[in-house]
Amino acid sequence: MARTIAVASGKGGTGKTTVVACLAAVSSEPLAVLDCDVEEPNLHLFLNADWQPGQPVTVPVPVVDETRCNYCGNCRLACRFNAIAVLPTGPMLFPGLCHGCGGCILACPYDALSEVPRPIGSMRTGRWREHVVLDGRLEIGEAKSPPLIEAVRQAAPDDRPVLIDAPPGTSCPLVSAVRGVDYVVLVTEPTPLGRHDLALAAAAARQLGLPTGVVINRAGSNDELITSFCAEQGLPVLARIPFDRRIAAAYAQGQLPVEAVPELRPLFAALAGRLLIPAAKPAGASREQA
Amino acid sequence: MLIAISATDRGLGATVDPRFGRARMFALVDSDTPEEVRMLDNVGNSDQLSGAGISTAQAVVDAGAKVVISGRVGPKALDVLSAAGLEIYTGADGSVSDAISAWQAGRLTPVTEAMPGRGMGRGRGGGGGRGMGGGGRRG
Repeated sequence: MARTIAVASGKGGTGKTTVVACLAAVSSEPLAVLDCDVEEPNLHLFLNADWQPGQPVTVPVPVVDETRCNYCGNCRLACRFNAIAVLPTGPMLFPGLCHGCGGCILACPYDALSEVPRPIGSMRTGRWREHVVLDGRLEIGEAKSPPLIEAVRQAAPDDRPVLIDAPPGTSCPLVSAVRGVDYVVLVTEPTPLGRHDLALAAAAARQLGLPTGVVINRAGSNDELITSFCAEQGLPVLARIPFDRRIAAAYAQGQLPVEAVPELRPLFAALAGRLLIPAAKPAGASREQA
Repeated sequence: MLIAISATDRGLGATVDPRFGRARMFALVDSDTPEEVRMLDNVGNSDQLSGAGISTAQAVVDAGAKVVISGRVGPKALDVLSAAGLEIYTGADGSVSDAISAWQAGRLTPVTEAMPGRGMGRGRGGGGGRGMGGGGRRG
């Protein structure tokens, strides 16, 4: 059906990582599994990979050559993010607000600005069973994760299906993790808040033009909260993971629920078969992004 | 000497806005003629998604103010204002004219560079944080 699958949720704590780890565990073919929740990566707790050393990920930020600057302020006016002030005493740059767009450099008539790399986090690659695993880790205090998420996605091998553990929410990090994927799986739970945030995430996926399906986690009571929403929106319910104390106990030990609770295996095998069967299109065609 | 006071509305009787960067406007008062006020509209800066404090500080500097009076001034705005050599006083409340009287009577807190939270580079994490060492370039 698809080559790049993102598992997202809107609400945090619904089971994105559980679903990703269980899909990887039952997949009959090698995958690239990406933890793009770079503010709180946790896939490594379940996929105990053989990791290579991490590499820094940087964004370009401007520096000023004050021998060339004449304080004209064009750079400040070009900056959409107010990362530059130009005072009578000289220019001040705020790299933490800079999005690395390079607009200030284009706007400077005196060639006074150039770019230097600023580290925002790190990413690493590992092997877990037959899969390649990648994750990103945003530096503490860093505000912007999208460049790191994009770096993790770009580093994924393109010879195999890609499975992305997306961050919660519906803002820039989520958009960076799901943009251009072939399919979005939204994991939710049958609670009012689960439904509320599912609606937000489904709206985001629709706005991005992404085919979407829903997995109900901790299913078993009040499922109609979710199924009624899915019926209204025309979203397929792909699977229901039962509410089962053994799953929580396994999770708390860092074990894969699909291995601790064997009767989950057919459920995830069916989901993996449905989502991860390679499409006929050329490898990498699904990874276009900004 | 021109004083800029963050305000929620026009005139000397308006309430001081406790926020600097997100203040809707500023009352500009010359300390030689404190009964006269002119307003600096700040909505274009206060509603910015990011860096409101920086752009507000830039506007206050550009307006020629030498003293800023507000409830609280954020760390990035403080960096800009102090780099431009302005005097900054926080803890103001009541009306704009109350704030001016309090300032004249020396009852407002002057903010110095050592103020906690003046954070570009410190606390916020040099390199990875909100700013690389030392807090922006200046000079």
